[in-house]
Amino acid sequence: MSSGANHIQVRASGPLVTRAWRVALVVGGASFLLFAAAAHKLLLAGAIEPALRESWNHANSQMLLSGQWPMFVMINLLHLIPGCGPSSMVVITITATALAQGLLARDLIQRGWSPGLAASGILVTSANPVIVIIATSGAPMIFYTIVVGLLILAIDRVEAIADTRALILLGVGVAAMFVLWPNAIYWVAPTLIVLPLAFREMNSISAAVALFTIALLPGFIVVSSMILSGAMFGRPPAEAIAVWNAILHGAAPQEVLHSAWLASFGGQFTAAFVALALMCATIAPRSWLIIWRLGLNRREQTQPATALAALLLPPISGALATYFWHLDAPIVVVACSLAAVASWTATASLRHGERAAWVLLSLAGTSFGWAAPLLWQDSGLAHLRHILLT
Amino acid sequence: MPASGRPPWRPPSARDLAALDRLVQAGSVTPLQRDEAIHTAYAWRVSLPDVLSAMYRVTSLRWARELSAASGLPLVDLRASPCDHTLLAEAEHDLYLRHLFIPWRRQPDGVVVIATLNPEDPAIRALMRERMPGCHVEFVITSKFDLIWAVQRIFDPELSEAAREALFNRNPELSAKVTLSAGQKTVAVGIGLALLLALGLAPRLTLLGIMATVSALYASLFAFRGVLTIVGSGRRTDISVNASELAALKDGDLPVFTVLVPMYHEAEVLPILVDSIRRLDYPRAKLDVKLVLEAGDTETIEAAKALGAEDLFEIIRVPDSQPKTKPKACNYALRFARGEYTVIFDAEDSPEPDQLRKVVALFNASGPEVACVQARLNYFNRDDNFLTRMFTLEYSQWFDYLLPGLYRLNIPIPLGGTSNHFRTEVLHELGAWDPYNVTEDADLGIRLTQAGYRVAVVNSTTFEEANGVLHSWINQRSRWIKGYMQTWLVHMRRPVELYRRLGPVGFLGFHMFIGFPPMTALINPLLWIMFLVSVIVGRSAVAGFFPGPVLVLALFDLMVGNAMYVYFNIVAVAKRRWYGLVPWGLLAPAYWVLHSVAAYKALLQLVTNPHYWEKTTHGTSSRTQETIASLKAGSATGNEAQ
Repeated sequence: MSSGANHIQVRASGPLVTRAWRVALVVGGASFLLFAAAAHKLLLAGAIEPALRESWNHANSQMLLSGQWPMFVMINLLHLIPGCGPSSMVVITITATALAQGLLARDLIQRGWSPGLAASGILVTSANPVIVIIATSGAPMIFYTIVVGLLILAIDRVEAIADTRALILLGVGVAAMFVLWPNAIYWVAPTLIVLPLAFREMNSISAAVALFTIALLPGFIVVSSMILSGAMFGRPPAEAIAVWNAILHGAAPQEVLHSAWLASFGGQFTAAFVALALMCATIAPRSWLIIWRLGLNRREQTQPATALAALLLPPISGALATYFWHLDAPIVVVACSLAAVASWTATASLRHGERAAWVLLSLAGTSFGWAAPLLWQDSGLAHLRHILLT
Repeated sequence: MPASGRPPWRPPSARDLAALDRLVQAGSVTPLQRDEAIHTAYAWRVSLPDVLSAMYRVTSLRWARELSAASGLPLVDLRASPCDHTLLAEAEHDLYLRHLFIPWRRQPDGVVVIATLNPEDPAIRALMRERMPGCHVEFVITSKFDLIWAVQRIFDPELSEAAREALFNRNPELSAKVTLSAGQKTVAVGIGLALLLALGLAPRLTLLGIMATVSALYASLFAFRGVLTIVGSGRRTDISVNASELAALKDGDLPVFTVLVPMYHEAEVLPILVDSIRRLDYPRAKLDVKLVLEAGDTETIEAAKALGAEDLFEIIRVPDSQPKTKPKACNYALRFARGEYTVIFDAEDSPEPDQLRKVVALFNASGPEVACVQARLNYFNRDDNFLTRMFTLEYSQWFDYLLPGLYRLNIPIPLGGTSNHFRTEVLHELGAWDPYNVTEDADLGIRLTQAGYRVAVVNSTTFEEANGVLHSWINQRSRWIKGYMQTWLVHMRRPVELYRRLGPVGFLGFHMFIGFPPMTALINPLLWIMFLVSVIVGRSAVAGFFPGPVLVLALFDLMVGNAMYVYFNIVAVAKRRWYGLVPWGLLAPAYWVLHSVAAYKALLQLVTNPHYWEKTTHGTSSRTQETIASLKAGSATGNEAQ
C-alpha cells in the first residue's frame, strides 16, 4: 500500500489538480442527477415521505437527548428556511453523497487514475442500490457511511505518517460516528485491534494508553455528554445507557420481531452473519481486491492496517451489532463496506490492471445488488426497489 | 558595508599577528593554538582577539596589553583616564559600541586621540572624518570592557531614560504606561451604565443576553482552539528548517548573534546558563552574550564575575529606576548589542544546541517581513509534581500546536517569554519592548504584526524550568494574565486601525488568543457555581438563564467544549512522545481553577499596581539543583586538573 506522503507529493502538480477538480465536478454532478431522479420517483410514489415527516416533526429535545445532534441541528436549521419541508432532508443527503463521490473522483485522479476509469468506477458505484437507497433516505445513515470512509483515511494517515493530526482525526471520526448512529459502539473493539497494527510507535504501555486515549476519548466525551445532558433534564443515566442495552437501541419488541435482521433468521446468529458477509462480498465485491493485494503486494503486506480495516471493520462491526440484536437492516453495513473500500482505494497505488478490476468489480456489485435476493427480503426495501425499477 | 549590513571582515593584520606571537612567547597560547586561532579567524571570518577570547580565554585586557606592546601604541585605562566628554555625541553611542571605539582626548595640536581595541578598523577613521571633517586622529589601545564601561558611564542617564520612555515618547498609545486611555475609560463607563440600566429595566432579558453572549464566546473559543490544534498538528508544520538547510550554512557566513540574558537575584543558576551557551553549536567568537543584571543586584554581579567565564560573556549593569521590569533591562542592554540578530534567554534556559543555526537558516530562507523567530519552549523538570506536569502539557500545546497554527493562519503571534530571535535592526525600529507591559513579549509580537512583519516558529526547543511551587506559580501566572490584559487594552485603543492592520482573521485571532482567555479565566468560577447550584438545587434554579438555544449552547460548552479542551491538552504531548503525561491531562480542570485564582489576582493588580513585575523564582527544581551540583563538581575537577 502506498503511503500518505506519496499522496501529498502527487498533489503538488497544478494542472493535475485542476483536471482532478474538473472530473470531480462532472462525477459529483452526474451522481447528483442520478440520486435526484431516484428521490423524485420515491417521493412521487410516497415511499419515503412518512419516515421523513416523522423525523421532521420530532426534531425536538428528544432527538437532542438521544444524541442525534447533527440531525437535530440539520432539521432545526431547515425549519428556519422558508419553504423547506421534510423532502428538504433528501436534498441534503443526496448533495452530501454526490459531494463525497466527487471528492473520491478527485482523489483517484490525483493518485494517477485516468479520468475515464475513475469516473466510470464511481458512477457505477453511485448506481449501486445500497448507495441509491441510503442517499435518498434523508436519514443520517449516509453521513455515518461517509464518516466510516474518513475513518479509514485517518487510519491510513496513522499508518503512513503517524502524526498527531492523524490521531486527532481518528478520535474525532469515532466521535462523529457516535452522534450519527448508536451502532458506532461496535466499531470500537475491532478498531482497537487494528490500531496497534497501524501505529508504528506502539512500543510501550504508555504509548498504548496514549494511542487509545487519543483515539477513543472524543467518542467517550460524546457518549458521556449524551448521558449527562440527559441527566440534567431529569432523564436518569441508566435510561440513557439503556439506549445501548436495549434491543435495537430501545425499539419496541414487536418492532424487533418484524424488522430486525437477526429476527429474520430466527435469532440464529451464524446464519445472519453468513448472510451479511455474503452480501458484503457480493454487493461490494471490490473488497476482493484488498485480499488480492494483501496476498501479493509487498507494500500492502508491510503496512496492512488500512487494508485490513477497510476489509474487516464493516462486517465485523456489523456482526457484533447483529449478535447484540442491534442491527435492523444490513444495508448500512454494506454501505460502510463500499465506503471503506473506496477510501482504501484512494490511499493505495493500484496498477492499471487492478484499477480496471476495481471498476469491473464495482459494476458486478451494482448488478448483483439490484438482483440479489438477500437485500430485498425486507418488504420495505423491496417496495423501494420496485418503484425505482419500474 | 556589504549588502547584508554586516561590517566587512578583515583578515588579521600584521599588528594582530605580532600580538599573537607575543602571547605564544609568554606561554599563554601554544604554537598549535596560534595556528588554530589564525585558521579559525579565517574560517569564521572573525577578528583574532575574538577567537582568542572565545576559544583560549585570552582576556580582552591581556590582548590589549600585547597589542599595545606589539604596535607601540599606548595602552590607556579609561577608568583611570576618563574621556573628554566634549568630544562625544549622544547620538553616536551606538556607533561607539558597534565599532568598539571612543574619542578619548584632543591633543594641543588639535589631533583627536581615539581609544580602541582595533586601530586598523577603517570604519573608525571614516566615522571620525564624517563627524569632525579635517581633523587628524591618532589611536591608543584600550580593552573591550573598558570601552563598554566608559560608554555606559558617560551615557547612562540617556540610556536609562531611553530604556524606560523611548516607546512612550514615540507613541504613547502603544505603551502600557497608562492602563486605560481616556476613550477607553469613557467606553467602559458607558458600557457599565448601559448594563445597569438594562438590568434595571429588563433584568431577565439582560441576564439572558449576557448568558447567550458568554455561551457563544465560549463555543467560538473552543472551535478556535480546535482549529488551531488541528492545523498545528500536521507533520509538515514541524519541518521549518531541515538538515540540508542546516548543512548548507557556512560558519564564515554566520552573523554575530547577540544573546540577552536578563537576570535578577539568580546567582545560583549562572553555571547552567554559561554551560548552555557554551553548548550552542555556533562559532563562539560570533556570540555576543550580555548578562543583563540590575545594578543593585550585587550578589548576581559578583557571582558572574567569580565564574571567570570567557570574555564573550559581558555584564551589563542596568541602572536602578522604575519600573524595575525585564523589558526595561532588555531595552537598556539592547543598546550594547552588536549582533545582527538578538535573542532573549532566561538564566535557566537550555536551548537545543542547533537553535541559533536553525534561526539563521530560517531568516535566510524567509523574506525581510519575517522579523522574529520564536523557538519552542518546554520543560526539563516535567515529572517533578502536578504543577510541572500540567505546565508541560500546557506549554506543549501552546508552542507545538497553537503557535504554529497561528503562523499558518497568519494570525499575530504573542511571543513567548524567551527564545525569541529578532532582527536587531527591526527591534530598534519598533522601539523594542514596552517596559510598562508585564508581558512585553506578547505585546511585541502584536506590534510586529501591526508594523507589517511576521513572526515565524522554528522547530527547535528551549528547555526551561517549570514552576512547581504553588505560590510562585500563581504569581507568575497572574503576571502573564495581567500582561495579556494590558496588551489587549493597549491595542484596542484604536480597534478600527487594528482591524485594518491585522485583517479580519488576524483581528479575530487577536481577541481569541489575547483578549478572551483572561476573560474566561475570570468568568469560569461564576459558571462553575451556576453548574453546582443546578446540580444541587435542581435545574429550575438557573433555568431562567437558559431558555432553548442558549441551553443547547451552554450544554455544548459545558460538556463537549470543556472535554475537548481537555482532549487537546492530552493530545499535546503526542508530538514529543511524552506519553506518560497523557493520563495527567485528564486533570486539566483542576489546573483551570488555579488559572482563575491567578486571573483575579491579575485583575486586582491591574487596577492597583499595573506595572509591578511578579518575579518568578528559578532554580527550585531538584533537576536544576542536580545540574548545578554536577557543573560545580565538573568545574572543581577541572580546576584541580589545571
